[in-house]
Amino acid sequence: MTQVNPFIPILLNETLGDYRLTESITSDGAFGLIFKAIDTVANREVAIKVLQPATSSPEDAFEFRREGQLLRELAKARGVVDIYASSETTITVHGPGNIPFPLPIKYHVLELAQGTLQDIAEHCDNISWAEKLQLWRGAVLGVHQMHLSSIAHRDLKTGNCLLFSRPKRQTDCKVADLGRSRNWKEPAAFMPEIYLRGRGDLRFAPPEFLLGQGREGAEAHRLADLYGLGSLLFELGVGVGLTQFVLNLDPSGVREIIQNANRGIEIEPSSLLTTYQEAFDFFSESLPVCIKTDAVRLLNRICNPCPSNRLPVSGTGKRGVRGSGLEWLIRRADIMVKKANQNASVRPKVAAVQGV
Amino acid sequence: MSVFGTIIDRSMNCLPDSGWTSPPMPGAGEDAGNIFRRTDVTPSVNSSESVDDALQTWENQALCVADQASGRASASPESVSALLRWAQAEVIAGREDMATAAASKALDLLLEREGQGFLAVAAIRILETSSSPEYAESYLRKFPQTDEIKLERARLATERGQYGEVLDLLTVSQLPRAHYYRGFAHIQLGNNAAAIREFRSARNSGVETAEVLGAMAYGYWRLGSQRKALSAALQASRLSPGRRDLSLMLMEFLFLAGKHSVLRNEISAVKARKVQETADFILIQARLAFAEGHTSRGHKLLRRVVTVAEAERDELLASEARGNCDILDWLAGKLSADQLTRRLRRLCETFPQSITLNILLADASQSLTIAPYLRENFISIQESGLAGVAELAPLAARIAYLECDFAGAQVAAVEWAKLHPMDPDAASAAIMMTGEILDDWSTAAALAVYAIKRLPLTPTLANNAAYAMAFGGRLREAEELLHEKWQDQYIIQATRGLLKLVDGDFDAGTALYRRAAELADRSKDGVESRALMACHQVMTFNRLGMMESVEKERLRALSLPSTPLPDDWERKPSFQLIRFMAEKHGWGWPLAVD
Repeated sequence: MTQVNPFIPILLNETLGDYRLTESITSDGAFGLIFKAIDTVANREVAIKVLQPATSSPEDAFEFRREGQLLRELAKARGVVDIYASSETTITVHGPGNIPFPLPIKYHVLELAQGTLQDIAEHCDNISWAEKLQLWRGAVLGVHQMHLSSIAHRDLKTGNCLLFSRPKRQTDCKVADLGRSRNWKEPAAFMPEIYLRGRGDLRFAPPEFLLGQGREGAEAHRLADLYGLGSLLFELGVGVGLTQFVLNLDPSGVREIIQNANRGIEIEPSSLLTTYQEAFDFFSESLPVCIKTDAVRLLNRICNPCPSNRLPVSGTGKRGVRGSGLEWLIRRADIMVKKANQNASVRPKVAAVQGV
Repeated sequence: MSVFGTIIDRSMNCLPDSGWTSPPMPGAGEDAGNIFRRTDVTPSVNSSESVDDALQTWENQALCVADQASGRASASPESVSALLRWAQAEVIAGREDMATAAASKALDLLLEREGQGFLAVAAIRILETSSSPEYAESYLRKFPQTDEIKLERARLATERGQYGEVLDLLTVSQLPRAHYYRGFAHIQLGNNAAAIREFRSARNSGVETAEVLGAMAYGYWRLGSQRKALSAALQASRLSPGRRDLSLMLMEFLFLAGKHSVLRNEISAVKARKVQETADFILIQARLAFAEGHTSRGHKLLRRVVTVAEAERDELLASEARGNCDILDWLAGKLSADQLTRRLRRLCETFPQSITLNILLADASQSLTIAPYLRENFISIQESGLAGVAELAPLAARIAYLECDFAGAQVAAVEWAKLHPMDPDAASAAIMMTGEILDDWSTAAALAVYAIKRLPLTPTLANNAAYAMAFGGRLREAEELLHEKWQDQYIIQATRGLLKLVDGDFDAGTALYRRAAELADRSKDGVESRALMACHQVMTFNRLGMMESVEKERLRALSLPSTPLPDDWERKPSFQLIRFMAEKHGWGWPLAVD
């Protein structure tokens, strides 16, 4: 059903600078192709993200370049995927009649992940909540570090969070795919309608952006990312996209949204409160009792369709929620991880006793 | 005297309501039609880019996402989540068949597994859009009937309007949302007290959404608890200020409760948010203008309702507002009574299932001849299931009256008042019909006392309540009711005359009747009104025994001169009612002093 991108066979086994592409990791992408590669100098495996040659638009090229720039700014952030290098090269490709022609290639060299959080979401029933929450905490940490550097992600979904195996059977989750990201201290390159023009996955987009009502400014970006983190948690619980679960959008719905946005007509997101609560009730079915209340309450807060209600008003500790970081959310994640771990450690004992 | 209020009252009280006649549907917030739209927003999409271009760009991306999701689902054929994610992506991309196939496959997998049944809910929501609710329901029936599955089935049954099934499905479920669906079903079935109990349980379980509060407000209103209804409606509206239906419900309640200054503030607050003024929002402003006596402003607003409703393609509301405009034109002398009736009949023929238009036609024609047509429409509405007993009650009472089935009209009026405890028109009709038809003035007076304590005092309610209270032994309270500001209404003057007669002041009573007759002469249907008043006066003399106790000469000299009955009196229920009373009590017909 899915067509293989024609550039994948062309690029496979090619050498870009010091890197020999050995395996295609994704069959398709919005504007990038990902390959596993061997760094022939350092003799290690890396991931190469290649900007789709020839077919990418100037906007894609801009976003690709900016992704590299933002990843370099976030080099010290351990919750964000590491970039080793960005480069350009030209390879020779043979066209019809075996005529050779040059093909310019732009690429980033990234640390190689062992999977994505989407793999977990797609098999959410096989993984314990303690593990899922630990991974989610990694994503929260990544976004927190991005926010401290005034960078908003704007396209959070499990497919954009990478998993890395660490010693002692530990797995880290890092935020990746910063193509839609931007530094909010710099002028905007695109308007909020970016979401309506096919630049994000509508299944996970914050409702205010989806409805063409996104605002400029640091606060709006932070609150949108907060929704994205809640949406990640929802995905980890039930596997599907929160926004699409609530809005059930089809092309006619999207047409209406675009028409309204064109006319400058705005819909109040508070109108969606009840349907969001239904989604949270659905989500709660996936949770163990020990974290049910905490997780649903948290989701109610950070995925509130009204962006201004996404920050907690109390109970956030001495430092509160002021500033641009998400320490308070990391603490919440820690508490839930602890509760889920305690629950996990109790359960086998009970099972053993029953077995005896 | 009027049973159902004058047509002048109609111009403010029989406007179509603003959409509160049903409680907010569960999940109604998703419906863009229920949402206030702000207009102070700069277009966020590049205006040079056409909607089609934007949609095309977006569709290409949606197809790309769907293809990727399809690839992942193929790679993990046993993953329910991968299938559901693919199905979601296909819904957005508009490939309904693919979405249905993916969601169905996910459901098939779930049927083979244990402990994951709750995920079926996500698949069902996809199937509802990509296929049909019936197909989705058929899948749900295959699953073990857990509380969650039953709740989802109840949600689908609620959307189909099968409220009995909702109650059957959720008989024992204690899920918080089950209370809400049960409450909603009860309210639709008219079990308001049971509904309130369920809504309270839902709130206690943490389901405190705007919709629960809105439905609670509706239930309290139906139970006659004005204060609680207003409080719940206010909370609902504040909790979800973007919900147009909830805001209009609050405004409607404020209007019906006579809290006009609060309503004015509420309207100003909504306007200050720069929302797009919809026809129903303008309508409530028109009704307020009429209620406050600003007829010209009300008329202008009403005409705007017609224009805006047409722009919104709400032809029904446009026609209902147009019908009211016709009544105002008749009052202003721009239309004759025949023209008015013909116009309303035409509107009714276009929308025979509009309760508002049928009521307007009933009130405007006041003729036995229209009754069969209205009855036919009534049966058609009843059979279509478009309106429940409560919505039909005001029309039922009117039709029985027009058919001269006065005993039936009395029962229907009392039922109407029971189902609409906050409606002054319903109370007015119940009071008068109970007194006249059952000759039970003490019960009628008790109804009147109950009504005037709780309802805003309209001229008709004040008139009918005073009439009943005078005969029910509460003369002094009755006198206080007939407010100075209604002194130009001949019906009020006549009832004041009646109060004097009951008080034994024959001279003052007959003087007021004469004054009322002069006012009636100036009214639009002067001849008929005067004849009706003369009949009523003689009926009062008979009822108070004055035909025997007062000297004939004095009676003849001070009472209204006898007026010939209009040619078409036999087709007029108002005259038929008096004949019915006269024959019942043996006063003779036509009624005369001699």
